Amino acid sequence: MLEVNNLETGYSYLQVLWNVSLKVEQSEVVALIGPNGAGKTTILRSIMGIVKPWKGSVKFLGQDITGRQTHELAKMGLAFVTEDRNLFSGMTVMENLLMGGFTIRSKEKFNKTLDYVLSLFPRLEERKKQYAATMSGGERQMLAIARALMLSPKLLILDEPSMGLSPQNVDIVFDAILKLKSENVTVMLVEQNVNRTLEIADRAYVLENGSIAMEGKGEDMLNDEHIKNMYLGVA
Amino acid sequence: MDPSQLLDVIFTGVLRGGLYALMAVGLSLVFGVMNIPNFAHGEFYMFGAYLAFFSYTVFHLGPIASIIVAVAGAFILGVIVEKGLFYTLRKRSKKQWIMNTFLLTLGISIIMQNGAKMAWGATYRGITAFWSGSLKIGSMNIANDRVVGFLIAVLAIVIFWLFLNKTRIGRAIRAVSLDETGSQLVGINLDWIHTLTFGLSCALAGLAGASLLSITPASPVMGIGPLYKSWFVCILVGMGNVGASIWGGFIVGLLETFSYMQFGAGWQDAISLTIIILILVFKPSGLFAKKGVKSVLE
Repeated sequence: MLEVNNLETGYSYLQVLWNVSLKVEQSEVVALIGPNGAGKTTILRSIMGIVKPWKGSVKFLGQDITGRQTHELAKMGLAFVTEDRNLFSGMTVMENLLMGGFTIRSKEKFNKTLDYVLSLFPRLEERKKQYAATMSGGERQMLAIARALMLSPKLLILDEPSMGLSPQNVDIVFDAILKLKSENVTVMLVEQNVNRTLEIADRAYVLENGSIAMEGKGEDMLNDEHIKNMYLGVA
Repeated sequence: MDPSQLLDVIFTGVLRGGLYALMAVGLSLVFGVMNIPNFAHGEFYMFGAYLAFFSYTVFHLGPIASIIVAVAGAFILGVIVEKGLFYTLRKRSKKQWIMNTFLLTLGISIIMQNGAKMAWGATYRGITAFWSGSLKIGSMNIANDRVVGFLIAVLAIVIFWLFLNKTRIGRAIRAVSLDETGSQLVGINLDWIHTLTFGLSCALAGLAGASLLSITPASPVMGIGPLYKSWFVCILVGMGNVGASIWGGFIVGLLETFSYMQFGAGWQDAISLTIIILILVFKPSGLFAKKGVKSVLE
């Protein structure tokens, strides 16, 4: 479904990624883990056309999307929840969701998607009229995921969805991802919470110093010595 | 100041304020959405006035038709300027964006002023009235054109407000002003929204120039006054705050009229600007500044 081939990119003259290749298949949950500064976010940003790739290609649903504009990718069904969330803070929850469905022209489909998203995050239903800026971190993260789901994405990309959240809110976010997984939504996930991520991921890639160091099944990785030492803190 | 005089101040101030609000809304929108401090805003006001003048006198269109021609013309010119200059600049570099676009708008302003002088001469081109006659309120006679101009301004602001808050495209414009990356991620084409926003802002300026043609005749430098007034408004309420600039327009209008009536015409700018400066000393980011609203320095 998504195919990244020999991707290299960076910021001005600083190269961040070296020869990165990865794949996401239909209905898979694929995790991307690695230490801070390894280039995880940069991979996502270059898939989404926010950072322009220097070399290599990105394919989505068989089409070459390398260097395409972000809004076109959104229309193709790629949804990206950034680390910063990029919510419309001066708008209400409802308006944020309305904007999330910007590309949906049919009223009927929009209402169906809205009902689905609100059933996934009932808290947002209660907060419909509240401004996004006044919500707690967990609620903002829910709203960011909900807004992305309003696109009815074919692939949902999440960048550190549990970062900075309280334990209860981390649970809510992971429950939501599990629910999406059970509904066969394809998810690509970057996370610091390696343990829980590997538990739900079908496959995972480990990114170290800008290149892929390992790849494998989620459950296999949990038992891997290198992963245990580096990321799980079990010596 | 006796009560009838106070009534005069309020009426005149509100009528003036409507125009300031109309100008300031466009200016504020362009700053909020595109981060462009537009110093050519007054020239679109001038362009609208000329278009209305020629439509009315040369082509003998009715008042409403002349104003519509002016609005459409200013919109089209705005779109051309955006696509030709700001779009091209944005594709090349976003470094020092605010400073570069500021200089660019200054250049546009000079070219448009001198272009108008070359094409139409330096003479004033005015009309006696779109709607002759006047309205008597108390001891005052207010020209019909002023009243209609005010009503047009209010109507335009209300329609524009509904457009921004209740329609899909209007909401997209607000979304872009709040978060550019977020807007792209939900599928909004930034280039398109930027062009539309600039065109709409110019259309509002053109509307203001056209509907007040009988009061301020068209001339190449007529835009300078309204430009500065709309900047006062935007700075007073907080840059890029579209909603507040409506109220700011009325505040500045009333302040000016009050100083004019109390201290004479020579003092009106001095007094009203002193008050604005005093307000800014205590509220440096503007009267209605919200947290997180960007300032010129960012």
